[in-house]
Amino acid sequence: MKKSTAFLLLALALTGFASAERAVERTVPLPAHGRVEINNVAGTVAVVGWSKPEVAVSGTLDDNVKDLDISTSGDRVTIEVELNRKARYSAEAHLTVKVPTSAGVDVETVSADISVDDVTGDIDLESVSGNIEVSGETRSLSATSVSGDVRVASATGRTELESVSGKVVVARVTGRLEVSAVSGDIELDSGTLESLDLETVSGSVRCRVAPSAGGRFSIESMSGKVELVVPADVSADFKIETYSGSISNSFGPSPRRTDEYGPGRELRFTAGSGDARIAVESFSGNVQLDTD
Amino acid sequence: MTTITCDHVMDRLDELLDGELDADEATAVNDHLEMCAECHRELEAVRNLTAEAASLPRSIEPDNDLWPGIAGRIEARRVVRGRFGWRSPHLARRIVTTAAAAAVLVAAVTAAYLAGLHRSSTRTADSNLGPTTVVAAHLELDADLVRVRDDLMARLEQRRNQLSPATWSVVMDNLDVIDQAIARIAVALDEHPNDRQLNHHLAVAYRQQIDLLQRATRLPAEI
Repeated sequence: MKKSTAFLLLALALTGFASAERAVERTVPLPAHGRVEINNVAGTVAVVGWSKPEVAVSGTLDDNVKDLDISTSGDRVTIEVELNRKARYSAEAHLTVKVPTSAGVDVETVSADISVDDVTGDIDLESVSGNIEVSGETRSLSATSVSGDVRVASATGRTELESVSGKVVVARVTGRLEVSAVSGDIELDSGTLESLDLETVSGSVRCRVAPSAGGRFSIESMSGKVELVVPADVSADFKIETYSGSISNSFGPSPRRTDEYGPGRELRFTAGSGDARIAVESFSGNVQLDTD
Repeated sequence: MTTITCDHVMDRLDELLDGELDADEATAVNDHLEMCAECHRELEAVRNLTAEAASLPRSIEPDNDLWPGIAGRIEARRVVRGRFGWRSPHLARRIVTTAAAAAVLVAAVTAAYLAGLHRSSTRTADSNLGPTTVVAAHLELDADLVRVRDDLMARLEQRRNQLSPATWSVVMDNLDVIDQAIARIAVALDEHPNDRQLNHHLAVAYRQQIDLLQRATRLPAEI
């Protein structure tokens, strides 16, 4: 055999070895209100709700994945990606998991991105650096990432979102919402909330939501800028305080100094009948209040 | 005989302390602890933290309802987020014990300031009233908070080689963000020690610091 041919064959063999993937497909039964737990390191995890009382797992495992362990116990299905020890954190598994729409879902990853669509059971998602995306009418959602972004297209019921440095973006949110970030920015856009508990250290906050009658909003920032947009016909008591940041209000009164010897400012007023309570506290971040 | 690993032992320390392991497993875990200095240190740390949390006052209420709900908000706030290691609820409980201790300390720091504000309830042009009682209480409580925080930092440092450089950098950068916020609040408090808003911000910053440390110590190993 010519040397060039031998090298070509060797190269082809190595290429095939490096990119070897194997498909996985398996289905197990699960009651409609059962629970699915998924543990992956790298790659992706896409969870989709469907009408069947089954969990269907499909996807690909790269060559450094030792096995995909799927076990069932009563109303619980556990899916775990097992890695070869030497290639422990460079192995990727790309999984699509179909679950009963009303099932509960727990997903934990290191760098794998997580997406969940059309699941109404309790959802608990955690990642270190993976991004998290949720869509569909969730009823109970907890999503937390360290450096990945957390994006929720719609949420109802109780929603708790956390990121350290990643961005948190929520659209069409109702119910009760808690959001926390350290340096990541937070964006909320549209929806009527019963309660909002939001805090950031240095990330900026852009919030365009409405309080329901009797709703309670609390927004706290250390140095991040806070922009709050409420409906023009909002009915709420407003209490906005900063230590050294500025307060600007496009409707209602202007802020006043809290102490003639200190830098603090506050703005307290009632819009409409004061049905809700909106409190914004900032240490040094500027606060801007506007209406739609 | 099956070799028992450090990870296996770490996941069962709480059960061991609570007497919930069966006899064979308890023997295996104890045998490992006798031979493994690192696991033994972890056991002692958990034992000390649990005792410390149990000795803390369960309720420190401000003398007056100067800021309705502040202590309640801090105590009620879930300090621990994230359940990496969901197969080990006892590991989570151990961290919750530390978190509970930290949460009570943070609430106590705030309550001490509020108590001091109440005792010096007449505000005058001189805001430096020097409430020595508050300062003394604060220093004592601050020392406890520093100890809990330092313990969490030490745990985190032990895990440094398990986390990717990128994740380590994110955690450290964001701890620095919170440290800087605390430092700025402390400077402001030097000038306005009785400012309730500043005291509130300080308590929130302490909690955020503990929150982040808690989360970081429980991150799954990446390398």
